[in-house]
Amino acid sequence: MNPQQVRALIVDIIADVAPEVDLSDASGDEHLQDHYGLDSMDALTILEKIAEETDVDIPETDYDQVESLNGLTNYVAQRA
Amino acid sequence: MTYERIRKEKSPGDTGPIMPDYEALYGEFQWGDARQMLDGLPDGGLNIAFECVDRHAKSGRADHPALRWIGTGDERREYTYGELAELSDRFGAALQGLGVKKGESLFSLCGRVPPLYIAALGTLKNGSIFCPLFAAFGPEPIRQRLGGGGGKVLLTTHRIYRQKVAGLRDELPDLEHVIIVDDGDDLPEDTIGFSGLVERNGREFSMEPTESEDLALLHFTSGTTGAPKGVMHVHEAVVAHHITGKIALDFQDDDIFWCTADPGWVTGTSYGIISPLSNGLTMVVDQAEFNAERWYRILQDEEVTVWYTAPTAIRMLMKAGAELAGDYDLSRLRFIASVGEPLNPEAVVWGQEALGLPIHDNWWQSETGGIMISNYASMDIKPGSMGRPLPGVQAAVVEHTDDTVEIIEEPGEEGELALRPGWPSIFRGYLDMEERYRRCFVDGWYLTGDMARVDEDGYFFFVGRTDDLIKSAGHLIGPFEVESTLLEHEAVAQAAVIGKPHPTAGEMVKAFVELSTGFEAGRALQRELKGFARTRLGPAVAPREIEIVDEIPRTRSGKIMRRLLKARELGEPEGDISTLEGGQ
Repeated sequence: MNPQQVRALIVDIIADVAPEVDLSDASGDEHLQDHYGLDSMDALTILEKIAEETDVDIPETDYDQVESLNGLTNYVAQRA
Repeated sequence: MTYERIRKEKSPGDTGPIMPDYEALYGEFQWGDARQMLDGLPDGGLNIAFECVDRHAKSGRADHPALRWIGTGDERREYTYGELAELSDRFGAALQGLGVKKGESLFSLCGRVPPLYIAALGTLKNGSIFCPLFAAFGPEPIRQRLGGGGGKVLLTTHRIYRQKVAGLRDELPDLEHVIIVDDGDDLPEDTIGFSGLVERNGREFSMEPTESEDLALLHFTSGTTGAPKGVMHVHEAVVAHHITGKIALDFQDDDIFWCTADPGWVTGTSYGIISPLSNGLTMVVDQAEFNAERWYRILQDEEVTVWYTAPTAIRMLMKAGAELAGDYDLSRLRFIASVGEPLNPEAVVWGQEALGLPIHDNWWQSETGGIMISNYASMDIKPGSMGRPLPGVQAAVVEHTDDTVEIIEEPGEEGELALRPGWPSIFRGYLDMEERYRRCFVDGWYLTGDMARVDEDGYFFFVGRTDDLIKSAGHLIGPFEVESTLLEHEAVAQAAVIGKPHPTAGEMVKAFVELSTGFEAGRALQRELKGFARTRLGPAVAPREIEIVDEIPRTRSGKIMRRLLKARELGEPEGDISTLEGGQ
């Protein structure tokens, strides 16, 4: 998957989990939980769905790399 | 699968638990003795905040660290008992300056920041009522609680005020003052900055005298139907907060204690503020949300000795793997406890394997004010059990009618968990719901609404709720509140909400909706409904899953059959459906 496809997939997953989040004007560097008010269950669900769709399992130790849309996209794109 | 009993053996040289023998203390315990452990006000009376800070500040513990705060960006601040006593005095003086009186209430709606703790204590010293709300609530739960509770003062953040409260102010006629904790130069209109309030303003503070039975705390808890219930507690509750910390959490003098619960939920107030402070401990407060590495690092770096957390967090740590725990030095940790929902036996055993300590489950609720049934440092654990009643607490599994209660003596039989009233932190009422309060008491027992069984050794096991309340990540959620919000959307004709089992959160909120004519089921509408509910209720309360169905099952009298929806969801037998509308 190329980064554009990964990003589109993640945006779609976020729209499923937290449809109220508006990413249209986002720079992509916003902290997903702090900035958009997602809770840890939301974050967990998003990562689980990403793992289902891409087979990329993100270990707990790498959570600091996937706190923003850009971080998450890069992380998954490098591995998917 | 059956789990082996975890034996407690005293290691040589160990000073041992604060309660060395459960049965001996259970036999001789008197609440009056527990009251004697506290000072009381110099001129008589009792005040929670005085027991928490002033008595330590006056008795040579003034320089002992009371609150050790870690911010989301890892910044740290430490407050001694002396400092907390002074700052809360100043906040109390500020409230007096604003004309806030004894018996009036301050609501908090902010994350875990130092002003929250200072304000809680200052409010109690002013004889006012402290009512903590969860910061992630959306505008609707906020309006219901703040409006219903007649809050006169709100303590909140700039962002929360702007996003969730400013638009509601016309609907909150009792709300006179809004205090902003993260004040800067640009305070929103009609609000007051926290730092200006507690700066030395020369105002002398004299504590408002309070008696044991004066109202102190208000905790909102969800009901199956109707508005959330405001659970009222009095200053005497501190007697239970104090002693249960010692007995159930094994608090010892120099402990460093971390309760991970947010004060917006009752655990975060009873054990995240009051109990550790009344016991003179150092309590750790982390502003950030759960993160496995961060949590292990805090346990290690802060040298936490007693840790009180929740099953959801423990299950998330289990997911992160035992190896991760092994990367940290957790040797200072002596006791781990969990509350919020039943802790599965795997998690108890995992604690022993990964953290070197078993996890002690305990049980209580907003209405009981403090821990009622617990596993103890000195008592063997049966994984999956919530433990045995605290000394001073009589618990039983019962069957009841509207006016009689019969104790079920047969071990293993299920019934409703009931407690004999008489402990100091039992609630004194539901705000403005006298009838609802009276219905909790039958034949001299308080009926908890939880189903349980007790085994031949007196260990209690949680079975389920007697009502439709949902327990998700330790939070009690009323289906009615969620259904009402969904019904506000024009596409929704009927809504029914259940708790669906979830591997991490215990249960998650799932909604079934029946559409109004002219609306088309589909992914776009599903998303719209979910976003609608999340914006109003916040992520903790809103449904995580929405299913559009043709028809929601109801009884002939029109009552939603949530039980049937749940059985269908789980693929279980549907049970008695004789009252189902259109059913056979």
